[in-house]
Amino acid sequence: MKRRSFFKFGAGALAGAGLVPSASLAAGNPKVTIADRSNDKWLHLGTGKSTIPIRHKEVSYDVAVLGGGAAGICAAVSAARLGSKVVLVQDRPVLGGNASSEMRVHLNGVNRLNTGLAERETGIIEEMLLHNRFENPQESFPVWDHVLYDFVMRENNIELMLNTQGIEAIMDGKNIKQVRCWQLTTEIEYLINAKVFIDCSGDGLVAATAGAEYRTGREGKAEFNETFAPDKPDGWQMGASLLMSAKDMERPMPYEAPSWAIKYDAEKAHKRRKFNAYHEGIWWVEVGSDDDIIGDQEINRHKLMGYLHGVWDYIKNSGKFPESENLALDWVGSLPSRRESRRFIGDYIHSERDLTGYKDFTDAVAFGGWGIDEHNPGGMDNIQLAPTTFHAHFDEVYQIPFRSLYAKSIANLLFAGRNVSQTHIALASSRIMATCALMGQAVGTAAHLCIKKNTTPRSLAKNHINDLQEQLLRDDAFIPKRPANDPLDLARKASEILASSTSSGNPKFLTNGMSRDVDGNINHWQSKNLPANMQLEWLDPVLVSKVEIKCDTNVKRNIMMRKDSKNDEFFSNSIPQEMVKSLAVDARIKGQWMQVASLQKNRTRLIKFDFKQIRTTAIRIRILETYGKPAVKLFEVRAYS
Amino acid sequence: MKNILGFAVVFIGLVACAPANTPDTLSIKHNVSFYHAASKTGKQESNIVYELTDYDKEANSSRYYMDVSSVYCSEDVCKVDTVRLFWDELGRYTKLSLRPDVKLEKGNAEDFEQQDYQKLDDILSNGNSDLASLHKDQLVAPQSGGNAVDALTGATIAIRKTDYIKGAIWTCYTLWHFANGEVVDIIRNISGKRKTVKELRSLLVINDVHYQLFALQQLTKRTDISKDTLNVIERKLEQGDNAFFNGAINYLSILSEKDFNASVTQFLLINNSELRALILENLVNNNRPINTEFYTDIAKSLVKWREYQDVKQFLNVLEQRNIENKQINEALSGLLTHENFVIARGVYWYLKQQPADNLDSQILDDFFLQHQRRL
Repeated sequence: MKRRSFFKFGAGALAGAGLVPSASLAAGNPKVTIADRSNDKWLHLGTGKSTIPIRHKEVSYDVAVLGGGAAGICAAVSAARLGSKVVLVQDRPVLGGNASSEMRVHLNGVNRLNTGLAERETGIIEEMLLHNRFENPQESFPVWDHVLYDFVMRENNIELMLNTQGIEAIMDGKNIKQVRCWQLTTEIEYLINAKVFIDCSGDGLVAATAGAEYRTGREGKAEFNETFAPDKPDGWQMGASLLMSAKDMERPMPYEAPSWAIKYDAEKAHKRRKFNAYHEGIWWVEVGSDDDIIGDQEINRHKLMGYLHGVWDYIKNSGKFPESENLALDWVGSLPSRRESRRFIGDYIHSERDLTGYKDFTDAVAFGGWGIDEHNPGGMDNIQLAPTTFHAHFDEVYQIPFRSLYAKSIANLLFAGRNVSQTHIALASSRIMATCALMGQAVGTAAHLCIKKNTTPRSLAKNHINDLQEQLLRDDAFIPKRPANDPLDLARKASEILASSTSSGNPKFLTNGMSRDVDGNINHWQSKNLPANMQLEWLDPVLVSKVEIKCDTNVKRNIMMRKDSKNDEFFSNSIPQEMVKSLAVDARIKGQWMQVASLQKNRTRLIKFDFKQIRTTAIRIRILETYGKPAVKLFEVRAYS
Repeated sequence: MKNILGFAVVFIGLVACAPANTPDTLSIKHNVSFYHAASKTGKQESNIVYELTDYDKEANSSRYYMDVSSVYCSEDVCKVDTVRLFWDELGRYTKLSLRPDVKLEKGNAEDFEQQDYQKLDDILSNGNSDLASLHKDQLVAPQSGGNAVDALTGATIAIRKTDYIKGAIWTCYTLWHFANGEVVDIIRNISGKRKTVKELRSLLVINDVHYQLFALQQLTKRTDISKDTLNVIERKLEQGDNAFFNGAINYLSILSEKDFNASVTQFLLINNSELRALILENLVNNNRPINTEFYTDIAKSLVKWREYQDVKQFLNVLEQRNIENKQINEALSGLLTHENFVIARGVYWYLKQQPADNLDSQILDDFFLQHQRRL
């Protein structure tokens, strides 16, 4: 039986039943609505009137972000915070994408380089993870959904649309003018106008309908001289996985597989299909495709459920896992977490040698460092193959260029996540969610700058890349080998930087442009004890209204939420003890120190103060307390008028 | 067979000539008392440190040993063995030994393996281990049967895997604090007493910083305040030998007021911010009577200081010790014309806080008129 004919339902059948809007009638035409409800015969008993439901709305924003996973959230928040009006469109009832409670994939990043240490992502993604540590110490996945909801909803400039999918781009020449969206829960068709569009949806439906060039499958070795690529190109795309978790019920829990379970063939299975911590899910329960992986998603979803229950049946009933006797399935995913589908083409295609050669890009805006982790073609359909091959691990992080993050042929379209301009091999490393999040912050920032400068992403790359990089660095995104050098930063013009005590580093390092210890260099100042203070002195008075500080959260240790709540030298399950908890800022006015700002329960690495502008020759920062460490470590201080 | 032989080679390499608990007639006994971080009682415990009389200095072999319990177990259900720990004359751990019939135990009553013994030796040799800052209450109480856990209470502590053996964290913690705890200083003092002051002074100049620091520590204990010693210390500070700074500050504490003041004034002239910071910190915290002439001399020397950080720290000392004096302020006034305007301004603001009768207000007024735009 062929895969395509296995699944009986299709969009056509549903359309015939009137359950799906007739998108084909409206294709590309903003004047035709798919939400025409003039046939409704609705008697509203409350008002006594017959009426037609209004199910069409046209709205306008500066930036439209499609996709509310880690990349989309960071794109939306970065643009919104800089002042753009943003809509974030997410086709699920929860935010988070693969990391949400619906799929529960760990939000990994550069967890571990060959040094053995993490080189953790900072910026908005770190802020999200820290927010979760404060709001969700119980480490519940459904609560994490709400943490992300709060993270987005508290931003003034973001309109969040859940249960809404962008289904079609409406063009004006080479620009996307509008995106047609369908909100499942309200039957509302939205026409979203925006100046810039960012597709972080993974599959990139809107980008595809806009006519952005894309490809699927694996490049052959020759195209980009990739040593890990197959000899010849083929259609294989890494698959989606379905996870589960099991609970100890403290009594024997028999299990009988459903009729559609697919028996696990242990004899044929590759020996690297291991069952470590199986009660937290098995990542290699995966199904890929060498063809239309998006078109086959429902078929593959059903197959994944069959494989999942087949594997669980093997665990429970093969006799090889006696400790599983009391275990029962507690949560089972129904929505597969996807790894690969469309990859759109930008002005640059990121490839293997850019990663393994640590290429230095003048337009670097993000970084990655997870190993080149290529899952086997077909997943469980080729169970005899090793589930993954780690082709390479990295000594240091690699750069991601901005030119890979916008469409080559659509003037106002950017990407972030697994759909960016890269080869299959590069994707095998960069698909990790925290890396995608960094891309998201980069393109959200870029979108805002495009609007501010009335330009396109391509022109931004060519003429204003420095502005983009400086804004990212200011917002605590780390760009490898790219120190900050903001001419507006008054702290860099201080003639003296001093501190009450120093146990390592130097207060003068706080304006050297590097916001972490990296490449074997120290770029911090650490006090001997607390309270501690550091002070900036200018020869001539300056006007200051903003002070921004980057404190330590130990970027060599991971802080994402994990099912096993790991807490060791590499993973933390709580608020970083290094982080500053309370501090104050003083300015010297006529020889007297006056407090201009303070914060008692800080929750972020990047601490920003905004106060009434003052004229002064000295600023003092008093750090009163951390979340546990007896001394404070800072990486950067900035001041702006 | 090969693995067993390999194990035997490693095991023998860790074993001293006189296995633990064997009567020893070639050593001097020292009765010692000390606190141990894992102690159940919180009181000092008593033990005997044996000083080997046949130790080979040239080979830097072990000079001292002590027999200790392998693990402090709060529930008295652990298998406790006797371990012999060895140190060199500077109190540095060198090795451990066990009786041939003794095997250390880890979680689930499993014996240590060959690599565990090697790792334990590495752990005990690491003076910078995370075990140093761990409190015993942060370790989970060992369960019955021995070192059953390597988890930590509340899962709130991250300790490097290199700092403990899985399933044997209590053993590692116990032995580490024996090897690197208070016994170290006891041993150093025993070694120090074996040397004359002349011998200690000669160690100050040999090419081994560990012996230099040992010598400085012991000379401080012996309150040797000779000019020769002081000159060596000053030379090392001028050379920027950072390892010497803390030892030098401790040494200052044994000096008479006259020598202390003279030395500090001299040391502060060395243009090293780290050294100045240590000395100035000492001035804040020591209990010596305040000598305004001394502080005036320092204030006069400030014109030669280049870093505002250093000047500010001196001003902080004056503030924290409530030293307000006309002569000192007059000396500080000399900095109002310092080439580094930030220093001049810092001093100006300091002097502006001083009582009016303790300073020449005309100088300050002139400074204000000249520089008001930049204040």
